[in-house]
Amino acid sequence: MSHHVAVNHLPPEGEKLQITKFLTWRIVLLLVGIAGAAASGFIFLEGGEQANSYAFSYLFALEVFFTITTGAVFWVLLHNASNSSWGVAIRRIPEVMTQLYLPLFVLALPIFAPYPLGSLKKPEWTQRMYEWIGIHAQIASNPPSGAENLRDGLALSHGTSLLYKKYPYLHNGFDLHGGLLPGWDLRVIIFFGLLFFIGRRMLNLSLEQDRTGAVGPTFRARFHACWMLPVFAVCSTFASIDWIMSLNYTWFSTMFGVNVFAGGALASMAVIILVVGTLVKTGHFRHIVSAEHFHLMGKLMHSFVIFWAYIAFSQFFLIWYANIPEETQFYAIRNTGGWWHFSLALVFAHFAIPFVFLLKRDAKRNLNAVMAASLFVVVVHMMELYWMIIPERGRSLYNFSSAPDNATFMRDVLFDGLAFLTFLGIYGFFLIRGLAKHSIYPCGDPRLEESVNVVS
Amino acid sequence: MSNPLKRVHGYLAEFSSVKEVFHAAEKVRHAGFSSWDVHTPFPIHGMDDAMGLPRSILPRFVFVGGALGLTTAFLLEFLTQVVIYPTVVQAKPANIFTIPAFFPVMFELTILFSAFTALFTCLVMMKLPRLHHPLFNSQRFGRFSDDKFFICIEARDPKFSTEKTKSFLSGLGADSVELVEDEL
Repeated sequence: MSHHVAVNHLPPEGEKLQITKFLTWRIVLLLVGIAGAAASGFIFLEGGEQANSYAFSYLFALEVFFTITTGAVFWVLLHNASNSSWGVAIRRIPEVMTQLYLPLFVLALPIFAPYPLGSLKKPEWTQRMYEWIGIHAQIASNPPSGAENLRDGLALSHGTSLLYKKYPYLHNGFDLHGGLLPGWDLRVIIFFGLLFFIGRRMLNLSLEQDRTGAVGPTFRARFHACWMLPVFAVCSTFASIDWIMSLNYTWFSTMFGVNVFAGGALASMAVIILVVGTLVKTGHFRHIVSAEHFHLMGKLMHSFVIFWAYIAFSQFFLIWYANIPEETQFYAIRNTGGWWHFSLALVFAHFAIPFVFLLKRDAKRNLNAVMAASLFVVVVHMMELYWMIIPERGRSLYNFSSAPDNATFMRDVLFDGLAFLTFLGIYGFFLIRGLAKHSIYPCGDPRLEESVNVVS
Repeated sequence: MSNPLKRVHGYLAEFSSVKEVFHAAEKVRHAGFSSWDVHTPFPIHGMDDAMGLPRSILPRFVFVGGALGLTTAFLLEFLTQVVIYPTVVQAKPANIFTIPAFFPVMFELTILFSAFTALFTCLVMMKLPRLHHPLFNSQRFGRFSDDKFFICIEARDPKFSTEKTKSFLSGLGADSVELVEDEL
């Protein structure tokens, strides 16, 4: 309070990223990304058992960065829709993060695009990973007698009545053929497209304000954010249903979308804190970001630790208590064998430890403490997605065991690491590139002064 | 039968704007007073810093209260449902692994104990409830809940002086400075 910063003491054109301080990082990340992408391409082109296994690693890495990017969309929308002023100083970071859907979409193609190209058939690893796609493909190529279309085929074949019932939602194709809703692969484009459009619109409004300093974009951003929030909620929910929950088409949970969203928004806030913290440590954001901002962001992160625990526990609790086999199967494979320790670790690492640590005011205001907590939160978010996706590999490929032998197990763990590094390299490279494009804070926002002098 | 003896409670200075009372509070803090307070119709952002108030110790009590609630709930459920009278519901285990069933109550009692601790510790720390306060002897003071801002420096402050404190408060731009007395 004692050092009030007047906005006319700040440079009108904002502050550029001091790119020289990040050149090494950018090159290292790019090299890691390119090397990883080359290795991934090699594994996928080779095909076979390795590619089937690697697809799970790839989906895990994709989901880590997809949920973080989606969380960034949420924070931008929430900031605008709630008409808040505190976060103006840090708003450009999530705005830039939302632009990263483009590289993610390109990276996602090996799983979602038809392969071989032009065949309109999903690649073998996708058919093995999403078993319902495999069954669809099998019945489409070898329909039972009397079946006029795929849905009839599902009705007439043995053991596929569930897929017949779920056909209106769980089907492929770019038209509605037989389904009430757009097909799975059309939805991939819809989700990526809408979320990217939302992020782009918000960034463009903010950039327009950078140039003009007019108050209009603030009001327009508020107006658009309000209708975009439900669109965002639908996209983020059904994206997690399509890409994670349908790994096992016989399992269902209405809380799953919120569960993934809660973890994603939490990890996204952690990434925002990490980026802002790194920029502060490298001499950016002078007179712009203070301990108050970290305190506020830390409080949001803390609240989402609680929100995640609430959702994740509610989902587990209802399924555990009701004890219906088709629901408990999800937890049955995660509560047995080695995954049991993983599940237990998640309870403490994803909730208890960050909850108690972030209770203290100093832990949120001290830059090193809050950054350490954020890094921890990002790691446990990865753990959670790993715990959601990877057990399905054993179920789909190895007849319910984690791996047939130690060598395969080691290979799969290496695959998980390789896929993650690939995405990390490319995502990090584009993040630095995106941050360098514009001022690192919205310099034309009329509420910048209010945000700079915010008291938590 | 009122007691003719009176005790000086302190000086009450009246201000008519947030800005005046804010800067006056900063100056009172710089002057080194310790027993004084600001009374305003609404919360003023940054006033805690302007007054130099330390952080409240209330959160520590609330943490202990919450931890106590968590433990109470766990023991209440574990002792009754597992140790004393093992209750098997839907083939759920009657041992420590039935703990998910305890979580809702553990959560509720954590909240309940935290809230009670917060409320009652707060009341104790504010010495509430009380029937009367000497400041209510002042006719002007009623407007603290309407449109006026007050600073009161109490007589028990070691730096208090009958003349100097009065002129000090007048020098801060107070509209009026009044001696508040407490009837014994």
